[in-house]
Amino acid sequence: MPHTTNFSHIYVEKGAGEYPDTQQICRRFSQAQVVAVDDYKHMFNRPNQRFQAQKRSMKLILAVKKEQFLYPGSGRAPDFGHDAFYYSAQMFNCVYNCDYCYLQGKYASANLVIFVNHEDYIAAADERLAAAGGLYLGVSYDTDLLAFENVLPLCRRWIEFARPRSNLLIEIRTKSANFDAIADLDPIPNAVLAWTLSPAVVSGQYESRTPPLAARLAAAREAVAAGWPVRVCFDPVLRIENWRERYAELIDSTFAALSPSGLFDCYIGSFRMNADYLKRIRCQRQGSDLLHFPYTRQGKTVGYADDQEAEMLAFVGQCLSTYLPADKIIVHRVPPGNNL
Amino acid sequence: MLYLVVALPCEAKPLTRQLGLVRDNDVANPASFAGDDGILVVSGVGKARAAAATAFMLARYGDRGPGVVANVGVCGATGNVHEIGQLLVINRIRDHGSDRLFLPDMLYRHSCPEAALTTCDQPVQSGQSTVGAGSVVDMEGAGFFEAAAMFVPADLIICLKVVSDFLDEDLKAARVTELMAAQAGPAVDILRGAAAAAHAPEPPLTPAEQEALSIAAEALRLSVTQRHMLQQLAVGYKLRTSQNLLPILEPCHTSDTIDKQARLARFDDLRRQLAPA
Ligand code: SF4
Repeated sequence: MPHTTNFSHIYVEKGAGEYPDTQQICRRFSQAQVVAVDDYKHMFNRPNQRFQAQKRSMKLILAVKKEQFLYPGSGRAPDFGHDAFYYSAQMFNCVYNCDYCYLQGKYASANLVIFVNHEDYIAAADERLAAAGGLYLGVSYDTDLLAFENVLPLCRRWIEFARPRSNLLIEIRTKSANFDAIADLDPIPNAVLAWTLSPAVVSGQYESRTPPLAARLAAAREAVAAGWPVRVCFDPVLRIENWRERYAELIDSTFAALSPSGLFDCYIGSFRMNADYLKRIRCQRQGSDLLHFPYTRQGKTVGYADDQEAEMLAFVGQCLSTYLPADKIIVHRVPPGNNL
Repeated sequence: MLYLVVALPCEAKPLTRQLGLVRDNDVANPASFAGDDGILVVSGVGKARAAAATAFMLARYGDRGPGVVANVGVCGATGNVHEIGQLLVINRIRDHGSDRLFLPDMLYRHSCPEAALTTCDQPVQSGQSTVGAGSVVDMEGAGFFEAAAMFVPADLIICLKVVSDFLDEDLKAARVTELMAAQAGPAVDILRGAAAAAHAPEPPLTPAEQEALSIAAEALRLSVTQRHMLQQLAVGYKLRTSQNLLPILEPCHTSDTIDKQARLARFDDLRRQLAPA
């Protein structure tokens, strides 16, 4: 028997019902069963949930975030040289289902939580901006906001928020091909659209439900042509069979589609994850060879052994250097002993 | 496999007939019925009894195979949203006594209306304002769910209710059986469909390979950490190559006859064979 469709049920937290975003989402999924809950955590944090079973029929949970609208960036993610690096998590979870996604280990549930009080996030960002004088803010963290833009235009709102604030730089990271959803906006220099690109074999095998490489490249190309700062991310670089050939091909196809001079920068990182998350994910996803690779543990982080990681990042960096100057290639390695 | 908890014998009868279950005479209390693809336990009325029967059923019979755990029975409707005889899939259960909320995962498709259930400690009369309009009430759902959730993941717990009354009549057992009989077939279809869809994926290693792995680990006298590493390498190898692991593992089965250094060398060799290139 098949599963119910995605978003067949919308769980609305007490107090979230009055927000316009809640009403708009409920209208959009008018066939959905609306279930009232006292607190979103009663649904999201229940013990003994099967993340991968839920991925086959994700539900929406609409809630009001009460505190901590911005989080300081962790050492596992790059800060691109900015002192004040924060990320906002207005959505928990993502419509895609990549094998290597840490969210599977971080959250008990695969259901999507949307915090409908966007204005509180904006206020928190303004406050932080005033305190720090400048801010680098990842707004599509713990999710893929652009993939969800047709349901809730959060990218659009963040871009409009950033437009008059030149001391704010936002990054919208995505694997979607949904540039069309924001194509009518005038580009701004302080909103970086960052596409994560992977070899076709990786997106086909390990990035379930994501658009194929060609579609992501086409979207990135449109964004560059429209004048947006575009970052391409080769992250995570994976030690798949014939990885050198696969990544060399990927980089060649990337620059066949995108003019190097049009890119904001390019970011490389290899697979790494919190060790406890990986342990949890392995139980849920026994069919993934990627997750059962013999990774090395350093502190609380697992990833490739130092020499393997160095080899992979050096190789990809070298391939990129034929297209880009060194100052546009950002290589991220988790600091040794990172215990976050 | 279907694991069912039902409050009353008159509710159970149509379900045992539908599933071809026969009384398990080894169990006096709670009355239990077993068959090839189902277990049914009659809990008695009330959430404490439902919780105890659920725990009993899963502890005693839970190893009969993967499936779903369900509470099936009649309920009263508080408003005029539902009709007598309607089969409802419950998407929210509130324990009226503690005000706690239990939320089944609604992952599996069905064609019945859904409803929010309130489990009360006492029978509810029409006009009592303790439960919201449009909801349905019973005396077992919350107890069943709380106990089931200690044993199985949330998506494998299902609550199905047949509307028996609008809280305004004293139901006779024969009437309850009649209402349940009309919905026993559709209820079992929903549960069987869910059990099939929810079936856990096969573990990557075959039982023979898992056994061979344990024998090799034993013979090589591996530590807990080394065993864990070997398990991960074996699973990774299997997923990458789909090759039979027995020819790699079996040569290690006699390692207990060799000295420690030779065992270590054999373990290193095994790791090399299983690791990705
Ligand atoms: S796109 Fe990113 S957030 Fe979404 S599943 Fe993949 S890794 Fe996770």
